[in-house]
Amino acid sequence: MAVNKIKRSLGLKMLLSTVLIVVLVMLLGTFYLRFDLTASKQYSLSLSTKDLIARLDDRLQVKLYFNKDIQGHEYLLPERLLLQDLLGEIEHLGGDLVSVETVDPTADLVASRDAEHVGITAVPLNGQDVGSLSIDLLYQGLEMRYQDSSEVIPFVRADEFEFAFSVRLAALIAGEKPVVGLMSNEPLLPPQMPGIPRQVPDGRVFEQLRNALGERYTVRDVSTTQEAEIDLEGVSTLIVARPYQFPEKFLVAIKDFLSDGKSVLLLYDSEFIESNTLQQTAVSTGLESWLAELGVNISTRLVYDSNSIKVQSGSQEIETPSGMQRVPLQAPYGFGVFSENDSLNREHQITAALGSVAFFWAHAIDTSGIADNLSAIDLVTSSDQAWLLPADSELAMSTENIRDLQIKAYASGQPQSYALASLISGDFGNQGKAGRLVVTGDSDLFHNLTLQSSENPNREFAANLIDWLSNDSDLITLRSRGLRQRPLHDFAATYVSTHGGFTDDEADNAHLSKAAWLHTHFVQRMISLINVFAPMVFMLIAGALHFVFRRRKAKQVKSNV
Amino acid sequence: MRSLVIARREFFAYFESPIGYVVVALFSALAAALFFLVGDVFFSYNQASMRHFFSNMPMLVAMIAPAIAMRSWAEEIRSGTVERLMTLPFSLGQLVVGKFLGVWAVFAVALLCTLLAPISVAMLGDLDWGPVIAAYVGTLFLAGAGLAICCFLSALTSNQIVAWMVGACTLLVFNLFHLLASAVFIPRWLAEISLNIDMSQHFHALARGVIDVPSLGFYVAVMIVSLVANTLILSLRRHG
Repeated sequence: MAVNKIKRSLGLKMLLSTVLIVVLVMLLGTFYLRFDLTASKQYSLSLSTKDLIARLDDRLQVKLYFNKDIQGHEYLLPERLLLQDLLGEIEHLGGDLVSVETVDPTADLVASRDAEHVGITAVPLNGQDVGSLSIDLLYQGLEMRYQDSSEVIPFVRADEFEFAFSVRLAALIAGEKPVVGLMSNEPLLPPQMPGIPRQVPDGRVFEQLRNALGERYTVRDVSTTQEAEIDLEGVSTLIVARPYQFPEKFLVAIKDFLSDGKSVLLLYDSEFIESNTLQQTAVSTGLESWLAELGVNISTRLVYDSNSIKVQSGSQEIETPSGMQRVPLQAPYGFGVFSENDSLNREHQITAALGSVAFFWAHAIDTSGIADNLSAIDLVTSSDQAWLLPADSELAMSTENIRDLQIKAYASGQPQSYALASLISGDFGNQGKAGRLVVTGDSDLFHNLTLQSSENPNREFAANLIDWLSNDSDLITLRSRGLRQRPLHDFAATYVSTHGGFTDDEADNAHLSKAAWLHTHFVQRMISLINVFAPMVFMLIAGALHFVFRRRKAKQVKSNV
Repeated sequence: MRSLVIARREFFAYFESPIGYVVVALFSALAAALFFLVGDVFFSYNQASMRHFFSNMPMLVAMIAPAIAMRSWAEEIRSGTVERLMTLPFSLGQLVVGKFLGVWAVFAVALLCTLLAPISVAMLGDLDWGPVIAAYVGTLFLAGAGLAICCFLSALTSNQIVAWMVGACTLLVFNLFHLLASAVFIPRWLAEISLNIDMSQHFHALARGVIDVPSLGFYVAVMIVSLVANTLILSLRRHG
């Protein structure tokens, strides 16, 4: 009887504690207490997004079009988890005002129609096929509805999610996007005809810049033809792109805009370079005397930098573990200045978190004689191993010309660092209003050919410039967040550079690349084996020593007895 | 505090036999081999990240935790020392918690031996240590839950091999509940429950670099339930 009583009592205790714990776990699950230990607080929303969510005064409906099944493409999982995590935090922060719904268009016909209706299309996946189990279409779009408006992110990438979400939420709350004016000599777009896709004229070389900014801003064209009307009403920032013989009235408009305490981005070039033939033509911008009045001197010579972009200068045959292969030969092209690390002003918000900026045929900017009412700081410079070469230098990207340019640069004197983008701020019109002018000594850094890749770092530079000039610096912080690439040390590159680098001799290059590959393989194998065996050997030695000491101690005790 | 006396005894007793060293060495070697050697995942991914290292942890813990915990009670029962243990001036709860803390400390030593991997990765690239710390905390709690379950299972048998096998199978099931959630015939509520009780799902949340209190709470709850069950089993044994 007593044993049964004890059993019953213990069983009851067990049941009660289990129930208590289950209730506690369920209660804990309702708490949103978490500590994000990642360096960039990757899984937490920033203050600016939280502020935007706090400004909601109506219900925000977020619909994520997301196929749950990613079989065969499991590498997408980290990105998808991050997306769901951030959306979870948004839903939690918004409380009753934010609802997040996830639908799977591959499994739900209604969701599939809705996705098509709002402009979210599936992205085809290739290259990871594992037979019939593998999916071939990926949905990853987001629709946001607020009051009578809606915004769509057709394909949302985790590393850009918070920025994309915040700019759209800001637009939904404000009701409209800020306006950026783009003043250039480019041909205007033809009028939109119903049912006919609009053709972009050939000469619109800053179309990719418009697209990059279009997510956040309404970009309004300001034509510079003599007869054109200048409409800068409601424009927060004016981009003056590749000025060419600007009529006086446009210069007056720029001056008035700056005097009014607004911001201008000037993409300056004193020659045009034809992208196919690389033939240059010197041009007059019409802004020279005004810039000289401000104390901004832009050299007509071209900056040649030893830290430069690699271009394909030819090809060669090399021996690889899988046989002889013809591979493209890359060489550093000195006129493609690659600014990174110390060449970017880490004190300024525009360039603080930038990885790099690439310039093509850039001019040096000298602001040492800046006017008394203004101040200037350099945002981007060349490396300190840079020279100025004549503007009429041969620009071809062949191996021979690259070598000739290098010889000319080295023979032209001592290298030094040159400013390539500068910020001038102050009272431009003596009206007591502080305007801001950013001058870049190159317009090709935002040319269609440069910005055509969505990964190009110049896109980020362009967006940061406009955000800062439009007083939206919070967005700069948001844009630089996300999944950061952390590549491993490149043993092959180190090996090649410590062995004198590649030369013109194909046989030497083939030998060196094979040796670099073998060296990399050896080092990686060694690291792996050390990691596998070192702790094991350590534990086995510790065990052996322990037993030896124990045996010795036992012997000692035995002998004492 | 009295449980710590038992924990200390259990911890050192573990390293009195070669099996302790072998298990610890095996765990660190397996963890490193799966990361660096199998499929060449780490070097082909070319990122200074420990994500793949920790993605193997739930399965590794499912194999190693039963090996560490299998002797905790099964050996005492087999050798008949469990009755003597119960005559000591400790409550059953203290004995159970003490033994559990002892085996948990053994696992912590095994985990310490894997620190060479993140150090190597940090030397090869710019490793973000935040997610590594969170993942180590997650592994410790995941193993704590696994060890508590295995200690309970060990109290059910006098055979260590049986204890290991049953423990490993139980932990595997606990790590594979999420598969149930993706089965088409499962109702939504059951799918949600199976996701919530899956040990690896809670671990993956931690391994990303976020110390999520509800996930840690889940592991603590599993530990408490298992230790209470362990105490109950021993009470029944004491009372015949």
